Amino acid sequence: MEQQRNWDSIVVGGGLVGLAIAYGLGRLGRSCLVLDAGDLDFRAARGNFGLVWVQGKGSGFPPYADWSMSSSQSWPDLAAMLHEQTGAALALEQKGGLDVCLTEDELSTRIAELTTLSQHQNGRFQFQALDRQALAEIQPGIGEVAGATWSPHDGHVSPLYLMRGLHDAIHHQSGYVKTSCPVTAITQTGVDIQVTTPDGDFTAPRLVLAAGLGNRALAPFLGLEQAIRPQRGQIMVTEKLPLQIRYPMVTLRQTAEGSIMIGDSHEDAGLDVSSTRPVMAEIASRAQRILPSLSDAKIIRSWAALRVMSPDGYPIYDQSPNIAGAFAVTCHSGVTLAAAHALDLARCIHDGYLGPHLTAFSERRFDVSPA
Amino acid sequence: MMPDYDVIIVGAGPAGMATAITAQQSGLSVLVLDDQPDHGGQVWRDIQQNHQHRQSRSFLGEDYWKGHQLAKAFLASGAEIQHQAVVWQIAHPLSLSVTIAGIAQNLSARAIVLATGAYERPVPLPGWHLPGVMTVGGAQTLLKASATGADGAVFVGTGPLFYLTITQYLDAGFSVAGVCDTGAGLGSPSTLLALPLALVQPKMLMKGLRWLRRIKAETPYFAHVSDIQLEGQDHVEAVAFAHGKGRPKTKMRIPSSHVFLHQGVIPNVNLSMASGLTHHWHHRQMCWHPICDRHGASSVEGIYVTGDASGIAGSGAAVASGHITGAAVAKALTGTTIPITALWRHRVKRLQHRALRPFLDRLYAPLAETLTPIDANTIICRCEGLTQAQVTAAMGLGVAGLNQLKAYCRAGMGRCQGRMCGLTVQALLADHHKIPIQDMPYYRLRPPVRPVTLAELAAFHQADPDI
Amino acid sequence: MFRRLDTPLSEITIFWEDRPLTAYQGELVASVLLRHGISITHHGPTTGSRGPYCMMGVCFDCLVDVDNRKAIQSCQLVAKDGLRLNRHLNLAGTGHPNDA
Repeated sequence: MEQQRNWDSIVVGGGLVGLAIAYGLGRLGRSCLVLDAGDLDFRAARGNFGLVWVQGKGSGFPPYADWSMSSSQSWPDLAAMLHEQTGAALALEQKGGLDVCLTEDELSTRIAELTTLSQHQNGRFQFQALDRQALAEIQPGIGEVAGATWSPHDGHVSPLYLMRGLHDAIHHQSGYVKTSCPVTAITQTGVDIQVTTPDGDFTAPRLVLAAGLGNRALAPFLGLEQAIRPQRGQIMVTEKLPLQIRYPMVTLRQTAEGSIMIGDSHEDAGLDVSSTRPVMAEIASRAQRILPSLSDAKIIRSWAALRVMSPDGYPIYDQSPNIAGAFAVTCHSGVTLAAAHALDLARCIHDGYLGPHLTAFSERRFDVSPA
Repeated sequence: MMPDYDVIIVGAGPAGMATAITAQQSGLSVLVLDDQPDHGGQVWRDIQQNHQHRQSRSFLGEDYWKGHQLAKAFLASGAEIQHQAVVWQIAHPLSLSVTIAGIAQNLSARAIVLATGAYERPVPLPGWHLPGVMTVGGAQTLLKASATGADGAVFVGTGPLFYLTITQYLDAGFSVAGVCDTGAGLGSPSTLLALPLALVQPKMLMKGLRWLRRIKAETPYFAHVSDIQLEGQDHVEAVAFAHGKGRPKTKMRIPSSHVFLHQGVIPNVNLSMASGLTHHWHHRQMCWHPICDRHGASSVEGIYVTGDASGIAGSGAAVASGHITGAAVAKALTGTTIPITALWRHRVKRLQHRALRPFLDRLYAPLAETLTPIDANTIICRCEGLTQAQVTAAMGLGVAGLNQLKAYCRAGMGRCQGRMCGLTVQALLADHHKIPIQDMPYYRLRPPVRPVTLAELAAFHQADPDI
Repeated sequence: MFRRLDTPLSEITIFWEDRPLTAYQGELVASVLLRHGISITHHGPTTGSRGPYCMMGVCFDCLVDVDNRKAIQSCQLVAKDGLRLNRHLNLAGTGHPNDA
């Protein structure tokens, strides 16, 4: 399979976005080659926090709210399919999630935002506002915070086991993930699309660019722009601890193994993926305010990764105007949207065009020229 | 803002103490941070304390007592020393984060010298994780720190520290149940080729021969040992192995509840890697070395690495290296030049000590089965309890490197941050991809390189929320 | 079993799971435990039983609970009179709904 040159589809990028789409294409019977970069490249997926999150998403962009909600609702199906195919246990839990607000101002702003979101969705999006006392009842040990919003749609999953599960499943369905194989050119050759790499050329009638920040350099081959920028996120991980966090809390969640993940920053730091103490200290300080009982918990590792941000922060899904069957995909919520990518987006790509529910995500929304 | 110190040295072993002495003599303000209760490093651990009981602890041997002279000079030098200080991050502009007595602080300096020494190469044999199994260095630490040892132990391994510790055990009057020597002996041509250079140090060679002769005479000694298994359920109960030059080898089993392992030492590079220094794979020593010039200046401005932390050469070379680095730091910061005669003495000494290494590295090369374990049940990552089978299953998916592997199976995610599994995982993955081991990059290490509590970290923010 | 060759004058007492152990001023806790035949210092579902291995702070296998602090390296800890120690139980993840 390593030597195979002609495929039904090629996905450039072996992060969560690329793997989910490749998995989805494989489920539809397409042989799929994933071309992935090196071990030390920017690996946004490996720095993912692991939230399957709906709360607050798309408050300024209803199609994104719908898309996140539908992905969250498809997540149990994705987890079940991966488990059935590979035995992967992803530790998916969708019992709801909390967004803790430190101050009353933060809380009232948040409530207003979620109320608007719920109205836009005709009540399909549900949430509850909790004052500190109500919050303390469902999360013992909560600190001096103003309160929280709770939404039943939210949850969390192991992003690393998701990656491994997708990788494994792709191999189970006549796909192949080729690592350390950067793409240097993309051209149309007859009905096929040809992808050039240092390991030679590969062809397929379908191509998906899902190379994260790498899309910036590759999108022009498709006549697209993908004007994305890196945003650094730092997270810290504690030693394994007995269960003490009942619901994932945007910046705090406890994994199935017991580690507590503490996040996360939103920094414009260029392509710098280092972990910095001032940011780590700020993250720690916020976590300590939310759960003072974590004070003695030991941080045993940290991580920094670059989110792939579009100008408005929402995903970009586009079809090439020049090369039939070629698509470009960019987003920073690779875990939440994994189910939508694997089950919905992959079918669109298989069929050869993006459905009406996805047209709003085109990069044409950034065109400033008058229509 | 004025930095807190001219130089901060991490580690108060032979190299760290020597660096401090020379830097302080050159008029620099020096702080030495060491994570142990007393200075001396691992080789001269508790030297100051023990020197008062020299008679009753004579079993530690002459090489150990030699350390007292340097420790005394270090104390007299005026350099500031902070014991039980755990350094967990180096940042820019040059500063480091350290926890002392539960309180984290940030200290800045014009230069930072990493004299973090070495630790023993992980020995992933079947059962090495069982209680009762320790490193030979660990057993030696118990001897030095509190005159404590165990009767009836089995020593498995090879190398100078291996023979020295067994000799110390015999001198201290502990019974030894078996010595399983995994050394390949003088057989290989490359080892023999390195011998002439090593003859620069005839005394050291003779000492090694004396140790070996004595061990052969006074313990149940087995040569050419391989196929080692440490047996037991919740505690080690026996060592099973094969020995001898004959084919097939002779099988043997020695019951014991104390087994001490040793396959040489490797530089302690977690802090230098997490601080962004460039490293290269050292073929002969089969480990990563930070790339440094001959004074110890690393690839990162203002950071130096000296002693065994920059490559294994032993305590004698480490002392010389420390003096050389101390002089280089002084020259860089003040323009002061150490008299050339004083510096040459250290350079010659270091050359002499290093001359022995090509021979020793080959003679005491690690046993193949400890480099790339083949037994499916052998624990590879101690922290996460991952077996060889679990690690190779994740490799089987086709992972590009150590970091992807870590993401897929958690190897290296525990408290030790890969110190106990990194080289093994690297070797297994290189084998899997059929590429030379130096082409398989290591884990991307990040601070904190030692666990730090959330409160310690948060305190920084409360102290200066605007940074 | 480990034994100590000398008997310093500065005797102190530390407690292992409420059992008093004789120790000496300046002794490493790991050393005291080994000398009293306690070689399993920590236990967990993924790691099984573990005890001191490297004695220099790199392996993190000699973890104990000290007074109210959890998972402390006993090879890096100097014994003090009255110190109360317990075996560290790594109960990570147990009772988590995802384990079911």
